[in-house]
Amino acid sequence: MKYFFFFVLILSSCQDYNSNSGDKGRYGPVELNESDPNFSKAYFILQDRCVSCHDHKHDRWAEFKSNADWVADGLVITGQPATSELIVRIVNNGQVSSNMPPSGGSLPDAEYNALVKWVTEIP
Amino acid sequence: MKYILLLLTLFSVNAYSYSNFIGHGYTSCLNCHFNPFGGGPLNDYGRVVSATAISSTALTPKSWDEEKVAYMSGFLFRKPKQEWLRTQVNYRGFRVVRNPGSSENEEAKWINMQLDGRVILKFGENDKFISVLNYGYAPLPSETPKGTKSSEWRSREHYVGYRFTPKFGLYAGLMDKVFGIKVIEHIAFSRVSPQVTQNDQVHGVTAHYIGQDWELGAQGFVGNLSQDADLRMKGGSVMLEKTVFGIHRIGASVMSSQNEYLKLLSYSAHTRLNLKEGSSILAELGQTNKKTENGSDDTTARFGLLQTYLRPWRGLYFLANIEYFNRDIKQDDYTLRWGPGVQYFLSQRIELRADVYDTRSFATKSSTRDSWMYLLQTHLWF
Repeated sequence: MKYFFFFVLILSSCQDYNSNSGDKGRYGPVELNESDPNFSKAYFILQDRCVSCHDHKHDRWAEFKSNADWVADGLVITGQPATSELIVRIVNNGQVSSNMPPSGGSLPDAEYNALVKWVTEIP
Repeated sequence: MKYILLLLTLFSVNAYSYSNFIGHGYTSCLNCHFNPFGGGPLNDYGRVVSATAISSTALTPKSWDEEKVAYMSGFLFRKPKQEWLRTQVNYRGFRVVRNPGSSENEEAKWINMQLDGRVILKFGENDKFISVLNYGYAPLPSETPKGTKSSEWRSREHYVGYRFTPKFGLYAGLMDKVFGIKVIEHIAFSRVSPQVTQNDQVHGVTAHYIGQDWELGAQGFVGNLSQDADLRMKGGSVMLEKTVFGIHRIGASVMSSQNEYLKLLSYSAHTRLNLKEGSSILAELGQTNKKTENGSDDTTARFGLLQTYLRPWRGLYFLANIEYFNRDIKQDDYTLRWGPGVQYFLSQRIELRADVYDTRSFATKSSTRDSWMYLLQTHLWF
């Protein structure tokens, strides 16, 4: 019996965090509080590119599931991508202060343009 | 010398600890490690090789000959008195400094990356049956969400193995996935992209076959059983390595795995070149196709690794590391990470290492600024 408990102890003491620990949040079903098709596209780009840092360390971007959430946080100014901090900070913007994402690849132009289109056309 | 010769006689194939030790002529992991694909506890032969071939003699008393050095490589600084039990302690920690010199963004901290206690039971001729438990501390990754209740003390490995013949063995339990070159840098793109980092062990069954000039591994796994069932990556992998020109290795790996949210298919080709006198080149090129359940991602990433190890004299290795990563091969964007390093085995049981990394991403019309980081690492084992 003591060997059985030892075996159970070993199995129960494994690490339960690894590369897949966040898969449910990153890749599982998502219910957005927004019907704007531009937003749903932007949401997945932001999830993929930004949320791994901008969720627990700094802020709660994973919870921003509507246009109103982003506007209320001040990161996005409706119709003004050139002055929206979210857009300005992206390295593709070309400004000296732009440094996001800090590593792991800048945004492909298609993704950057999708974000700009979203902010520009927020209803 | 007779102790060394006895150990060498007991084993029929060469061995290495790190992948780059092919530069010492050791092509296969099997005889230096209990795990035939490397990592985890060293066996008696591995400890002797580490003491007598890898480590510097800078701190070795001049009165010691190589036989004495080999004798002292045991856990209690002597040859074990019994054959069935081995114990080891392993520590790895480093100071990491990101953006050094930046008044705004410099970030420096000491990370205790690994503290493992290892117990190995072994029985039979040539350690035919082994049982390995590797339990210890590893910090939660920095990106772990606050409130996560995971313990930082856990089993890194636990498995049993049986070698039906010296050439063929089966292993079952929690082990590393069998894929590609197992470099020590767990942030390497070639480890992150196929998800074979330091915390990605899985429960499964692994078969290992070593022929005259080739080696084959096949693994079926059901994921990490400590995780929720929906997160467990289930799948399998195969890796084949062949010795070429007597001293080099070429290999290929393929791995398929999936949980309820993610499907991965990774494949790579690699080579380990023996430049002799302890120097070597490691190279790997591969791709990972990722498909997600919610449709947010259906991309193929490409990764590359090139490492050189130059050994001017015993104990010292000069490194150069170049990595490439393109997270979506349909796009032109890519990231390069490169930098020099130095690895010094000051004596048996003591490894010191310094690495510099510069990471920079390139897009079609722009690029990020250089992102510098350096590591000062201490690795101790007993």
